[in-house]
Amino acid sequence: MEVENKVKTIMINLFNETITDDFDKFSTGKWDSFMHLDLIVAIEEEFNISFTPDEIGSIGSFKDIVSILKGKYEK
Amino acid sequence: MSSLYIFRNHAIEYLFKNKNNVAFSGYDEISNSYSNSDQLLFFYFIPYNYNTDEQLTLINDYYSRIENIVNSNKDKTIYIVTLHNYFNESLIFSDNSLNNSINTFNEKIYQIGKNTKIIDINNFFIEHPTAATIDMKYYYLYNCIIHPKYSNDFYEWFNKEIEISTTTRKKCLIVDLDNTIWGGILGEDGIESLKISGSYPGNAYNDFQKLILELKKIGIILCICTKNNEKDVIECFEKRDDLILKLDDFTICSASWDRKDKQMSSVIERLNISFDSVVFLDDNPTERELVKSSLKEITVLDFPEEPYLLTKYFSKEFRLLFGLNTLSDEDKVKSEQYKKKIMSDNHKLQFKSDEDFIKSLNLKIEYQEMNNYNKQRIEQLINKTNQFNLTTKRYDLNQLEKLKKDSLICCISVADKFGDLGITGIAIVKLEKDVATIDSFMLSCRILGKKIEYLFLKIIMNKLFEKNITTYNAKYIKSEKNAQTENFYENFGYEIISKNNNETLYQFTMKNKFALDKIYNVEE
Repeated sequence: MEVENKVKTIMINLFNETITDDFDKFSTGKWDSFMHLDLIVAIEEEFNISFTPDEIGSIGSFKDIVSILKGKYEK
Repeated sequence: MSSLYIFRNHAIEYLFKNKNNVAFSGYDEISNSYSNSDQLLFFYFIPYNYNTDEQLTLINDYYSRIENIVNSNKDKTIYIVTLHNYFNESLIFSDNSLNNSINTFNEKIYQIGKNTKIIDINNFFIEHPTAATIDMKYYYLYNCIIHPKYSNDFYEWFNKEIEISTTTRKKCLIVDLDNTIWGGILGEDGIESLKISGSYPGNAYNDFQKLILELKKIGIILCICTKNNEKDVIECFEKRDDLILKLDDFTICSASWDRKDKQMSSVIERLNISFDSVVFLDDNPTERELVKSSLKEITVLDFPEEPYLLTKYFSKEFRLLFGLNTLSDEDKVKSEQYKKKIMSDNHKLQFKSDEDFIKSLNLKIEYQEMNNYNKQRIEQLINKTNQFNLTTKRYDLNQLEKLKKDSLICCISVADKFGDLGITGIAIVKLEKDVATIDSFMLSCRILGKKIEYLFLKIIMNKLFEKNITTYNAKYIKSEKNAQTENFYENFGYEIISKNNNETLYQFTMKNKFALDKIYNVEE
């Protein structure tokens, strides 16, 4: 749950709204390309990882982020 | 409402996401959609491109674009960010022509027009060195030259740069001397012991003086404001030829024992400049606070704890206050003249009386007799205090132990709201039946100007009065340094018994205990 909680904290700070497990691009009007960039950078910094360009393109929800992060940790 | 229009050739929105009233051009676009904005910003990066010829052409192209817009928009304020070479690897294939071209561009834009201000991006990379390296992932995905994780740092830096460029450049720097432009205290340590050059901390002060001298070269007025005997200061500048700053470099040298805010006011009035064009440097937090609260328009800079921090810290501060990219005098000459008049009409010291000033310091004074814990410090002070020292007699520890048999040896510790100054006043009083003779009385220069000397003497006399001592003899022996104490006993209320060139004898007959001023907190 640690990964989920950290991601949620980052997203709450950025979006300034409640983040449920089902939160995605369509749950909010704030997820534009600039927000996307801020989100990616914030997660990279927090977890000290680097997303691949494909991953950056594929991320569209809270669950996407968590599953990519867990995949990276399990390697 | 003022608005900013940014010409750009890369994605930079993420660097300005917190800014209101900002509009961006398309990449490399120059339509006139900026006409409603009163501020324009040119923020170009050199594109990532191994073809140097193409880059050189682009740089020339940028320059002509900017020149055109500057010339046709004289009513607007125009900021130009300098170019920077992020792609040093291209040097593998080419000569130095790209760097040369960038340097030429950066030099030329300083002269491009009167309504322009230059923002040197290198200052951002000095503060954030790792931001100067391009992250290729973000470059190819998002067209970002500066890594997005620096966006908040960048925005903060950028705002500060804009602020600098719109504030009026300061005109005058007033410096303290002791532990400010040299290490040590002139009046206590003596001319020879001051740390001015050579090994640390002398070398740090030496470089700091070089930095201050640079200010003079760009037209900043330098002045001295110090609590010292003027004669000593002049002598020091004559004798210490390792001083980078010479007395001639200072327009006015104010050396006296007056309160610093009073000294400063008179310096600034003599210069006939406005108070808000003055910057003050002093290592002593009490003096800084006094000047800050008494002369509010003056810029009072913090002072680093360690000498090795001086140059790094102040070169940054000086750039912000005196830098050439700030507004020149002509830009603001009218408002300046106007302001000056207002200032001279209305200017008043905040602390009308010394009492108000002393009260604001929250002084705590603790009285102690000599004991095993304080005798080292007492000996030290007795042997190095020159300026506020009525008789300038020196004793070592053995002599003090002997004196103690028929004398009161006592001291005071002083603390103010800025910190503990430690044992800073000493007296030796010889006792014989109901007669007390003050053999020594001295205060460290760190606590002068707060009338503590009167309080200290009152405390001592009150103590002795309780032991039925009513007659007090005192003496002033003139030395080269102690002129400021000449009238101390007289001012206190002692009567002159005899007087010749070098010595004055006094007497006081005590009838009642003294009431201690409420402006001090005294612990006995």
